[in-house]
Parts: sequence; structure tokens; C-alpha cells
Amino acid sequence: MSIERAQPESPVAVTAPGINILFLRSLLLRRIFYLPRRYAIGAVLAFFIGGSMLTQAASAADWNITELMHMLAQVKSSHASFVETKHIGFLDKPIQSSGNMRFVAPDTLEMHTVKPRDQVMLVQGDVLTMDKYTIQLDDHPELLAFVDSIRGVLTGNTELLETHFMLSLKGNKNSWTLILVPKQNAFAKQIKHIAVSGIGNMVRSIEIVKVNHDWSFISIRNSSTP
Amino acid sequence: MRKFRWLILGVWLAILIGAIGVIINTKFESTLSEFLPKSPSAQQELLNEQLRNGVLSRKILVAINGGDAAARARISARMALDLRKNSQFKFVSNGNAGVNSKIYNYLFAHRYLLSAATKPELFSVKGLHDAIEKTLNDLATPGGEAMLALFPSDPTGAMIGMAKGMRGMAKPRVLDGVWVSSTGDSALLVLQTRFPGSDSDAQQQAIATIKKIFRLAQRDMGSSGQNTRLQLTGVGVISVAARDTIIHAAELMSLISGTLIIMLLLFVYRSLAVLAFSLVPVMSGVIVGIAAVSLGFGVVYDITLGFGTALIGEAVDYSIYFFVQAGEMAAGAELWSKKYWPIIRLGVFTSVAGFASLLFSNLPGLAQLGLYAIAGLLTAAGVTRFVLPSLPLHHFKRRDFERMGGILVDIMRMLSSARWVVISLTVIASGILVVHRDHIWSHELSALSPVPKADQLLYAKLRKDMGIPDAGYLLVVSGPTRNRALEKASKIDPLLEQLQVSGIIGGFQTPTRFLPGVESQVERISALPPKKILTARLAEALRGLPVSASRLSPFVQAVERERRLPPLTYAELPTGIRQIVDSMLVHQGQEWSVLLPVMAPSSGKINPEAVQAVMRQHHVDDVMFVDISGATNTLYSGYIRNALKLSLTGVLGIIILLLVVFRSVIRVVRIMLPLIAAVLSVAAGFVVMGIELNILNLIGLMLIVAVGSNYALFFDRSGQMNGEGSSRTLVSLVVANLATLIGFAPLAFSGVPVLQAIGATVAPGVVLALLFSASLAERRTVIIEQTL
Repeated sequence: MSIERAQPESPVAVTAPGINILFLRSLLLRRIFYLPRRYAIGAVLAFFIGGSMLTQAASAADWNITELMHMLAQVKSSHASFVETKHIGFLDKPIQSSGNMRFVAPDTLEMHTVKPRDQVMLVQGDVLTMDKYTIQLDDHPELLAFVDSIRGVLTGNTELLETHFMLSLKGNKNSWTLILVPKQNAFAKQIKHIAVSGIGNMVRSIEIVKVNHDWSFISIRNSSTP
Repeated sequence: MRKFRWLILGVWLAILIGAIGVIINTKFESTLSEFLPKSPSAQQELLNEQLRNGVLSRKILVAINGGDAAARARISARMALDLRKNSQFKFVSNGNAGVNSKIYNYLFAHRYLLSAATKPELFSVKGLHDAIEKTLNDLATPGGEAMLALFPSDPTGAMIGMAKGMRGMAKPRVLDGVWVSSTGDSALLVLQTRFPGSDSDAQQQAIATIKKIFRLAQRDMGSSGQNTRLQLTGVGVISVAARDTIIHAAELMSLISGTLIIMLLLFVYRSLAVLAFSLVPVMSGVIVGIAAVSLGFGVVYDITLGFGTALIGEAVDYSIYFFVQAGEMAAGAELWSKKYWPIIRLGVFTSVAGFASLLFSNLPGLAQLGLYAIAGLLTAAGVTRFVLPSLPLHHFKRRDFERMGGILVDIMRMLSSARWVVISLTVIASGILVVHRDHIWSHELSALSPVPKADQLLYAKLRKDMGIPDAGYLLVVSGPTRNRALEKASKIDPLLEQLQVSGIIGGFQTPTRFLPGVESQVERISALPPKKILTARLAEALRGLPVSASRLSPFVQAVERERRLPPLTYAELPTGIRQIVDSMLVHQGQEWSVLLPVMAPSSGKINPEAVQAVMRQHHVDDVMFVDISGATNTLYSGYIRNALKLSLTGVLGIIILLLVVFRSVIRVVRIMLPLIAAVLSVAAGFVVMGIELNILNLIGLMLIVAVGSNYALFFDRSGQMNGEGSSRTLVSLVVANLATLIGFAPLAFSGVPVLQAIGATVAPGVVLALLFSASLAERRTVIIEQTL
């Protein structure tokens, strides 16, 4: 029997560098909160775009990204419910979570997960709070870049969005899909693309496809109590 | 007298030479603990030891300010690189993740030995099912993807559990890959020196090295590094700075008050020779005083020397009395020793009675001051009485003080008619003190520190930024060996977790997260099932869950690997881990203690009884829960009570002495009344200005009584003197008073808190004591003056 100490036996844990780094920091210095980077990205996107559902912008003759951005930028506050379904390679079945979201202009976003367990995530300005833990978005360039992109969507700033993503729009005004493909950065190593779909000025779903072929689908329904 | 002249001079010189010999071999020290108790409790001793030599005392916190974030980050990286090559530093950290991956790998490779969750129940079919289901729920919750890669090798969430347990740990922000302050505008480094913080010389060298390396890094950066600045703090840094500040302040103050006093004396004497002779008693007093402290205590604190300047102001009085009061030198000295010496002698004894109470102080700094003052004053007075008349003074021509004396007599007459002012001032002051009686005394221990407030604040700020816990609460467990102490700590961990869940405490740190006791590890190893059994249980446990057993083979292998590991020992810890463990371990005498920093919940306070109740409930009784701020507050209240008692004893001693000498209550009341009025007025003045008094103000108040008693005694006796003697006495009192004022007033501006407190109290106090004594002097004096 030969025993090698400190010899990591699982190649998965050590070779998945993103996860590894996430864990290193969270374990020692940053706490567990650093973990939800990807989630936060999805959630932030979902929320900001979800907020647009309340916008009742007048239809315009031309249908293009500029027009869509203009409509989405009208959002001042919104409330919605969500269901996220994750398809993970090594699981036999997808797993699901659900809860409520709330957005208040200019920069407050809350995601309250009810199932399978209670969890509250809040982005306010440059601070992200999950349950009672806090992180500064400034400390996490990828996350900040993403939040900035979302702010770009909300303020109709296509230029800001395009510094992070390549944008393309499919469909028509009554059934559209905006596809965001990350440009070459750390984010691109994890995310293949994000597809946001909507009807008119309402976002109905967000699909996030990862490089490792895992994907998740968030469906959003306008809440009866705004 | 004459025939003993050579004998007296011989004895005097012999004493001085002996004293100088003692001083040459004296150790001068600045430890910051002059005002910490000398006979502390076991708890306090542990904390003092930590403060002097512990890991915290070895930490130097470095902040790089100015410039832009990128420049600061590059300088930080460069400095860390250079500092790591230097043997003065045991470790250097600026946030680079290299150490972290080592720690991560260590924790991951030993997760079942280190996790408190490793129990036989966890590896039962139901335990496995529940744990895996919970982890899957975490994965499903938004954000759970971050834990995805860990799932196949850690489906029960051992790593996540450990990470959650550590969430109360230090958490400086990271920007551009280096640690930064909470506001992001300074880059931070933490260094640990090889030498303890109490070794000021080694610390000073380390500081010089850091500064040099910073300048090199700055220069290599070119223009972008130009505006960056370096800030250092830490126990050692503060000690060095305090030492420098005190020495600097003492030198500067000696220079200022020395020059002023010499100018005053020159103005009064108009003779360099008389000036030189008048400094003889003071210098003798200083030399003998320092030697006495050295013999009595073994070391002399720098701060004690700081007070030397103040003592010059008090001891110089004696020669002033001698030179001003004695008439023509030849006959005058004889006359003086008959007429005035008894009054001065009594004044010296009242001062000594006042200072004697300091000797019994439990603060070594104060006890030293007491001894210094007593030895210095007795020497100065003795030299004035016996040595000065023996010196060749024949050719001195005494200055005529008639004119000055006349003016002073007029002023005194005015003061005398204004005695109702003194009475009403005293009444008002008493009223103010009664109204504010709850806010007279400061309860901040920092008031006793010789460290300037700005340095204390910088230290507190950088500590907070670095997430180094405040001296808040500590749980201490001890054992005869390191392993026994760790084992005890391992047993307490679950109780602390329970306290954390119930919100009694906010969190805690423990070395057992990295190195549990061997016994606990053996228990955990025996809880791990062999491969075959685990595989069978896992297959059953996964029923109804969306994952198949074949996906979890990394988990089965990991459990099997750890099941065959021998328990971890201190000796084989990787360096980064060992530092963490060491920072919470103390080896003292025959005993090892584990110090677990406990964080307060959001309410900011921990109820010690609730903690102790839980400990008792689980039959853990040899745990010490220390509320450090509470302990120091209790300690401080103890000091204040102790100092009050000592001061009152001192005043009482003075009163008894006067009663014995005068055998007249009314006379003693008349002598003490102006002094008490002065003390009350000064105290009320502080209260009105919103300054809370600390122990050193209290000592200052007592000094007012000790010094002021001389004035009161002269006024008491001057009633029996003729006109010329009386006016000359007045001149000598005013000059002596000015000298004392000059000696103490500069301390008020010294920038060293303890010196400031004394200076700001004594300087106005002695002036008031003189004015009040003059105006409350017996009317008979004034009547005599008027009839002249």
C-alpha cells in the first residue's frame, strides 16, 4: 500500500481551472460567496431583461437591435416569477429551481429562489449580496463586465454591450431571439452563447449554453403582483 | 557648617559618580506595556505575552497609497517578490493565489479527515442519500453550477461544508490580483517578521528594509510610481514609532523648557555663574533619580525620562528659593537655612508624601515616575540645603528684588480682596463636577497609550481591511501537548457551530479546520466504510436521485484513499497551513493553548453567559471564554479605582503630615483649601471642554497638590515675616511658579498622549494654586504690608 499525501486523486477537481480557482478563493479568503459567478451572470441577465416585460413601448416600423434596445430601456421596475431548468452532463435528469425576481431602476435587482431551497440574491449598484454574504463586483472583472453589459441593455447602450458580446437578432417583433456570443475573454471560456427570447417587449426566456455542452433554460412569467 | 564643607562636597561628588556609573549600565526600554498591569491574571498574562511576542506582534501591515490601482498592484507584486528573498521576514503575503492553491489542494486531498461531518451516520445508506440530495439541491439553485465540477468526487459536500465554516475568515478585497483596502485605494501586504514585536531594534531594521524595497520598486516603476506612498503599521512598527516619538518629544521638550527656564533664571539672577550654580541641584536630582529607578526596577522606560523635563521645572524651584530668598550670600545662606529651609523642607516632604503613593501603583510606568520624583526631589532639596552653601559663592552680588517685590505685594493685595472670586469659582467647579459626575473619567484604555491616536487609528483600519480580527473575543483551551490542546479544540468545534447557528456568536476560527486532534482524525477514519461496502450502500442510496453510481467512482476512490491514510501531524503540514495553525497556538511554559477568535453576531455583542451555558451543558468546563474588550475595560476601571485610591492616599498623607507639624486644623485647612480649589477648577475646566480625565490627568491633579503645597506653606509662614522677607518670598514664589509652568506647559504640546495629559493638567493647575494661595492667605499678612 503506497500512500501519497496531497496527491489530488480527482482529475476533475484539479483540472477544471475555473472551478478550482473559484474554490481556492472562497475557501480561504473570499468565502463561499465567490461561487455563484455563473449563476449571478445568468440571474442578472434574466432579471434585467425580464424587467422589460412591463415596458409598453410603441411599435416602430423598423425592427432591429436598436429598436429592441430602445424598448427595453424604458423599464423602470418589474416583478416576475422564474423557473430554471439545468441540463447537466453527468446527471440522468435535469434539475429545477424556481422563485421570484424583482427589478427597480436604476440598479437594484433581487432574485429570490423558493425551491428547492430558500435563497436571496441581491445586486445593488456594484455590490452583490447572497443571503448574508457580500461581494464587490469591482473585484470580479468578468462579473462586472457582465453586469455592465446588462446595464448597457437597460440603458439602450448597444455600444457598451458590443464591447463584451457579438449581438445578433432573429425573428420578428412578435417573436424575437437576441443572441449574445461572448468575445474572446475569460467569460468565453465558460459560456458558448446566451439566447434571450421575447414577445414584443416582454422577455420570455433565457437560454445559457456552456462550452461543456451543459445548458440551462430560464423561463420567465410576468407576475400578477408587480 | 564650614568644617564639614569638604566632607559634604566629597559625599555629594561620590554619590553623583556612583549614580552616573549606574546610569551607564542601565537598560532603557520602550515596551508599550509601561501602563499595562504588572501582576496580571492568567488570562491577562496570556494576552500580554501574545501582545509582546505572539504572532500578531510580528505582523507588519503595509499599505501602498497614491498613484493608480495598476501602479499600486505592480509595486505590491514587486515588493512581495523582493521581501520574500529577505531573511528578516518569515512570510510575505499580498494576495497572490499561489499559496491559496496549496491550501486548497491540502484541504481537498484530506477532506474527510478534516471535515467535522465525517461520521458513521453520514456513510449509512440514508446518510448518503440525504447528503447527496442536499448537494443536488444546491446545484439546482441559481449559482450552484460553481460547485458542479466537485460533485463527482465530493457528492456529500464535505468541501462546501468546510468552506461555509471558514466564511468568517479574513477577506481582504482583491483588485488587479493583489489585496486592497475596503475602499480599493490602497494595495495591502502582510509581513511576518522573524523577531517579536517587542524587539524594537530588529523591528526598526525590518522597517528600514521595507522602506528601501519600496523605494526600489517605486524607482523601477518610473513615472507611474512617482505619486505612490508607503504606510506601515503593526505592533512592532508602533513600538518603534512610539519610542522615536517619546525620545524626540523628550529631547525637544527638554530643549524648549530648558532654554526658557535658563532665560527666566538669567533674567532674575543677571549672572551666568549664579545660573550655573542654580542648576546644580536639578542636575544632581535628575542623575540620582534615574540611577534610583535603574536600581529599583532594573530597566528605565523611555517615558520616565520624558518626565525628567517636567521634574526640572519642579526641582529648579529649590535653588530659586535659595538664591532669591537668601540675602547677601555670606550671611544670607546662614539666615536662609534658619528662616526658609524649614518651610522648603516641609514642602519637599509634602511632595514626597504625594509621590510616595505612586510607588504602590500596579502600573510599572507610574511606579517608576514615583521613585524618580522622590529620589530626584530629595536629592535636589538636599543639594540646595547642604551643597549650594558650601560652593564658592562669595563674589555674587544679589540682585535687588525690591521693585519687583513691591509690584507683587500690590498684586497680592488685589488678589486678597478678590477672594470671593476664588470661593465662587470653587463652588461653580464643584457644581460642574457634580452635574457631570458620570462623565468625568475616560474609560478608554487607549488614553494610557504613549501611541498617538493617528497611529492607533491606522492600525485599526488596516487590520480591519486585512480581516485580522479585532481583539474581541477569544476562546482558550489548553493541554499538556499540542495534540491534546488541538484535540480539546476539536471537541469544542461542534458546540461553536451550534452557537453560530443559534446566532449567539457570529462565527469563529479554529486551527482544527486544518489540523484536528489525532484522536478525532482516527475517529473519522474509522467512520469511512471500505470500498465494497461503500459501493453497495451508494447504489442503494442513489435510488430516486438523478445520478447513477458509476458517475461517483471518484468519490468512492477518494474515501478509500483517505481511509488508508495515517492521521495528519503538525510536522508534515505544508508551510502555508502551518502558519495558519501557528497563529492560533501558544506554547507557554508547560502548556499549549489554542486561541479561537470568536466573532460577534450582527448585534455586535456576545453574551458570555450564553456561551458558557452551552459549554457547561456539554460538560466542557476547562474552556476559558475571554471578552478581551470587556477584560480590558474591567482592568481599566480597576486602574482608575486604584489610582484614585492612591491619589487620595497621597493627599491624605500630605494632610496628616501638615497636621503633625502644625497641630492646627484651621491652619491645615487654610493651606489645603487653595490647592483643592485649584484641583477642582482644573478638573471642571476639562469637563467643560468635553475632555474626559484619565489616570494621567489624575496624577497631574496630584502633582498640583504636591507642588502647590510649597506655595501655600510660604504664604502661611510669610505672615510671620517682615516686609522685605515677605516681598522676596513672593518674588521667589512667582519665579518658581513660572519655572514649573515652563517645565510642564510644553508637555501639553508634545504629541505623546500620556505626556500631554500631565502637561495640560499641571501647567494651569500650578498657576491657579499660586493665585488661590495668594488670595486666600491670612489677612494679617496684608495688614502688615499695608502698615509699612
